[in-house]
Amino acid sequence: MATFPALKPNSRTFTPGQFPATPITTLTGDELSVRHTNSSNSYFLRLGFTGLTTDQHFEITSHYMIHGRFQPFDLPTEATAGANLSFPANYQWIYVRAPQTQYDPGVISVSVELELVPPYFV
Amino acid sequence: MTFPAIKPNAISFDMGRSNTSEISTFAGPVIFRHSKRINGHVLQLNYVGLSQSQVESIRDHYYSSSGTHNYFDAPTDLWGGLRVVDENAVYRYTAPPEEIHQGLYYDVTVSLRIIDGTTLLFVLEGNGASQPALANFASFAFTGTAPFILDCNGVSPSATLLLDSSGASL
Repeated sequence: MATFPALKPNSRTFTPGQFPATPITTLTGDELSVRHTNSSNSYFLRLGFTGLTTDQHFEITSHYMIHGRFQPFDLPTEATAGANLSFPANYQWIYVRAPQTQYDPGVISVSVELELVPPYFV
Repeated sequence: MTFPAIKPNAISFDMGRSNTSEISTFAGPVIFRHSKRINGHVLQLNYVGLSQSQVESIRDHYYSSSGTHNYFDAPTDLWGGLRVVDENAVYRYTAPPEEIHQGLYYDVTVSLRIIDGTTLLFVLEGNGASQPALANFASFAFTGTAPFILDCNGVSPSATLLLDSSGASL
């Protein structure tokens, strides 16, 4: 699938993934945890782009229109530049929701929220 | 694996809960205490302006703790001098740390749950007390009527034992 547009974000929020586990509270007050798998999921990345051109804005919106919430895709290095983030092999990103656009006169800002998911085939 | 020794810019927390359960009756709530544990405190750490290596140490610690699965201990410095839980308390992540990337620096919010906080045990401390000289006796005859007062005035530390046999019978 098409890689996310190679645009450098102006802001970025990262939430590391979770390892599926179920907490169990015993009668003595101990809080135990049962882990179900070695894999992790629910990595989130929120990217903010400010001052986009209309062409750059169209790159993002058309990418979303093609992939929607359904088709996973890869991220370019520009999206995570400088943060030294690492992710499980072969995982890909999907949109959490549609990109949000704010259009002040002359300034286009877009907020994109992505989730990292294990590989699957579509 | 101990939580990284990075002092937060601000913390917030609640005081946990006792290990009780509650049922409602027509006469009001009836509360059962299952143990003397108090835990479940949620401690939120707010970091502002962390360096790359500092944010990576928190991120690596989160991954090495298997996310919210494993428990760990944390330096008492996190509490900024407040005495809320035992020094030996153990923690778990309640959620993944959230990183806000600010160019060269990072703002991070960490939420921890204390799974072994405080045990309600009374500790009697006899600070500086020493045992005075003992006098052996096989029997001691009390005369008169109760209550009897065994007055130990003059010993150090001062102690007074009150023997009250009110209502006693042979």
